Amino acid sequence: MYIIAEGLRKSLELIFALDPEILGIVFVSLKVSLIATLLATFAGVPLGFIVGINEFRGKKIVTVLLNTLMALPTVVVGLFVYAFISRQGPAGAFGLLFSPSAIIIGDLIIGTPIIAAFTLSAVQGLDQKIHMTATTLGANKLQVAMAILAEARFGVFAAIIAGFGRVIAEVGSAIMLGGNIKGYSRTITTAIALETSKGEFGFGFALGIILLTVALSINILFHYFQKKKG
Amino acid sequence: MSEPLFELKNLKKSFNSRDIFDVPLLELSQDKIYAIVGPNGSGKSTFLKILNTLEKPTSGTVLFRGKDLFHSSHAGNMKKEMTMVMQNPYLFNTTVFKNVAYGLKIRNVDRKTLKKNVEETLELVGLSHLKNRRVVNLSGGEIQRIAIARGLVINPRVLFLDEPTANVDHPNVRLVEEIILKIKEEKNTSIIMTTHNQSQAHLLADKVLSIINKNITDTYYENIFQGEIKKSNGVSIFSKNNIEISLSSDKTGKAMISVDPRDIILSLKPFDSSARNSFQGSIKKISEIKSQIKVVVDTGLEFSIIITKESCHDMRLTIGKEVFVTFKTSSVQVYY
Repeated sequence: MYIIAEGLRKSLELIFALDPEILGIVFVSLKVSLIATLLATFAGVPLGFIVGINEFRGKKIVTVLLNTLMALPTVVVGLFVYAFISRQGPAGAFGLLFSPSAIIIGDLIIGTPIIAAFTLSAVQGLDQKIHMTATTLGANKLQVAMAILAEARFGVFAAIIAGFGRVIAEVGSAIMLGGNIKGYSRTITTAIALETSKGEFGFGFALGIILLTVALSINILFHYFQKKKG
Repeated sequence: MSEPLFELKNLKKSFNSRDIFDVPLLELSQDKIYAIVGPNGSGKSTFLKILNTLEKPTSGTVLFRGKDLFHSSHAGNMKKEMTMVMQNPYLFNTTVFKNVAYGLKIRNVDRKTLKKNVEETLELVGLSHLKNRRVVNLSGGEIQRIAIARGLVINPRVLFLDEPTANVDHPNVRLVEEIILKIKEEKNTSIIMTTHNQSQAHLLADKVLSIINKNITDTYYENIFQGEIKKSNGVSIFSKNNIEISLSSDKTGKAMISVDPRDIILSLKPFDSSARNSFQGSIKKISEIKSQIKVVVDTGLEFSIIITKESCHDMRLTIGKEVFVTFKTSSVQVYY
């Protein structure tokens, strides 16, 4: 009990003192997650949208596949990307292993199916009359698609936020691909794992509190957009 | 005479090999209000969707101002000259103003003209005060009027209205009807609407068309009865509520019939004529439809009869008065 109380006290001290090491870790974490989410948005939103608005053979299979990929084990992603970018791997020449870029690649693979699946669900949940309404008012195919996307906007925002929430809290692939290098590729989650194993609870708690605050903010935003969507 | 707005030739539409309608020939003129009446499921909405190119016909030709609507290189431009307001209109999740502005925005109309046109159209439908409101918590009547404004703002040559008052609360029905009449007066727009309300069709339209037996004709779709046809001494008799109507048909068994209210003669005394159907009854309702009078007579079956104002005045018709309704066997249309 004492360890926990002492840890919490120390964590608050570190947070309020704006400890430079903690700030550095939070910065790396936010940078990596934001870039990965942005890239996953460019990949996932069009993917989910195109699957959502078109009827084609195999649509159900694609939907099931995307939903399955949402639960992709991050260590498996870490393993595959590691094999790909390690020195002996096909992309070994780029020297990406144990860098923030490597974490971003892993997070991109983890985040894309989440954003695509939520976008798909947002588009499919829309009123079927949008297409006909825009068409009868003179919209061409692209303008119809834009009208549908505009109507799905709150659902799409919610999808992006869900993607960000997943990648910032992810630890498996970040530790395997980033290497947890201090001041370079150490993220909030990988730092918590390390500090806990060292018995530095104060440091771990401080990062944990920050991560929980981020997660809470993300959830509030997610619910805000979900409500707007409904 | 000006070129017809629409010309339909051998137009067929079927779903899952079931024919919805089959129109050998139909012409619709410009600058008129047409009302298409018919029961639910008769294909009224599908008909509008085909004219608006939202659905393709199974076969046949639709000419729009002389050009093939489905196989012309100008099809894209022709589509932009017409728009449809659906029965349950979808409003985009934004403000009333942006909804109405949509058609102008995708036509790249400059901001100043767009603002002016949207404001004028909102005024025409009496909703200027809702301009900046988001489209939540609106009544059925308000939604319908916004949707009409959204269609009207692009100044279409043809405005299709699918059951414009079906989802509108009672006080708003009159408002929507007035807007339709106002569009006719103030705009250069032809209106083709569907309705299941006969009185509304006659109140608003220059011409009422009915979907009967999968065809679209200008026969009145009124005085519809369901009953049974039997042959008696070589004569076909339709019976319902102890009333027997003579008709000419080879069909027997369950059937639906209709009698055009313009083909029925109303008289105060038994009418001595060759017409085989004559029934006595009392007047239940008298209403004015445009410049004519519709009289409903209860003979055991209720018959609607259209007469002139002068006849109504001369005969001094009042509710409850005993009268005779007379019509020929050939005035009876038989369905299935």
